[in-house]
Amino acid sequence: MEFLRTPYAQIEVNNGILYFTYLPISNFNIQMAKQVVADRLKIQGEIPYPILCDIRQLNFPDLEARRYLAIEGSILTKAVAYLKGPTTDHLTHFFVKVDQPVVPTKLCTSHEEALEFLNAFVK
Amino acid sequence: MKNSSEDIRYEELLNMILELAMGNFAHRFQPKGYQDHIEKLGLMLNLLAEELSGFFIHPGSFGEKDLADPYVFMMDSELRISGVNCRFTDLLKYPKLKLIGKPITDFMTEQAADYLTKQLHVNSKAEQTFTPIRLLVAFVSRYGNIMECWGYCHLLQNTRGIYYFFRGLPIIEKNDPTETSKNADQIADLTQANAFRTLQYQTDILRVRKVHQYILLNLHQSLPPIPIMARQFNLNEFKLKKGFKELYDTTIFKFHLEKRLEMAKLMIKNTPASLKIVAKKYGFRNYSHFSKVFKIKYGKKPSYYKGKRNRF
Repeated sequence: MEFLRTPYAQIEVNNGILYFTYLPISNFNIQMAKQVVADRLKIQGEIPYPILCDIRQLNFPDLEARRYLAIEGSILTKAVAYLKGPTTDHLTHFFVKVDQPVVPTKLCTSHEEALEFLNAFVK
Repeated sequence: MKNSSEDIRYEELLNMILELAMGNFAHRFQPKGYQDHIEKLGLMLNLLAEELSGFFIHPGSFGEKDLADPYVFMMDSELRISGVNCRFTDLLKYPKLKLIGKPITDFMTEQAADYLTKQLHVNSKAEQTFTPIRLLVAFVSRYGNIMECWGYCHLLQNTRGIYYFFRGLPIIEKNDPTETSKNADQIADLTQANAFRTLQYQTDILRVRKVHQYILLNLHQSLPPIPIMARQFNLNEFKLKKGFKELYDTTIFKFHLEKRLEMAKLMIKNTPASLKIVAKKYGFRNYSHFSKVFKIKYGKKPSYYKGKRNRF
């Protein structure tokens, strides 16, 4: 099991799934987005994973950061399940609908729902 | 106490909408940390403001030189004017109070009014809220002058209903009132004469945006030739090429190449993947070709970036 904690997120690989949990971040901008993606790639090596992305504590990224996460943020990802909270559900919906990530994406309200979606992408 | 606080925050929401209507896309609703509908709507408006500013500062939206002086008005769902800027009152030569509350169609040629009503009705019904409707409409000033104007119309929604936000620039002024008989088709034909304005209708813009997304989904391989892509997305070749350039300020193949190079660079810097594998992953026919185009873009060979993290 691989594990990394950065100022922005906690990243963990377990049973073929990468668990990415955002920590509370204020003013999430493009530099942070680049750092977040670079940190994730570092732990992945060159292996693509399905990702369970917990954004319940996330302060929503600005426009430039969202564009980056939707496109460059898809590198080495097979699929992403976003675990949304009561205050982030509409923002996540906005991200998926408007910024359009380029990998299969699902908005989930529980770990179980997210894992059920991601398990189809585990080798 | 709670009601008072809610009232203040509700006023801030309304103020945010008005700021947007006045073209102030830098204004933001200030979140207070509540978990309620007002907070959610405020954050959504902040996102909308970002998206709208993206449309208007993009060189494909309007000529950059014209951005400083747009006319702006806002309409309710019945197309009654609910707000104007001074540029628009100057254009029509009416005082503000003579415009507010009146149907916008009272200040347009009959054909343009029908055209506007039809376009807004069709697009609202289809819930095409993410892309503004690009329109060419003809206004009639207080003194009978006819102004044919380009503009973008956005559909806005709040808890009270639907609003239309229109922003544009006058491009032609005709002094002969008999020209009012120009019908909507003729207005549309005028647009064909302007080679730069290739994307006439919202459906074209939506199709080109789909092409953009298609390219992003195909960074691992070569794109099909333009004629095939045009057929695939129901556009003619001219609209596809020119339209893409207008919306994204680059060509289809240049965008495809540059995005592949950006992704490849990110992989090289942050993963142990070999350069050859990265080249193959992003659809380059061999490493030599990849290295050559990479150096043209970044000034260094791919190997220079190997293992160099945090140099964005």
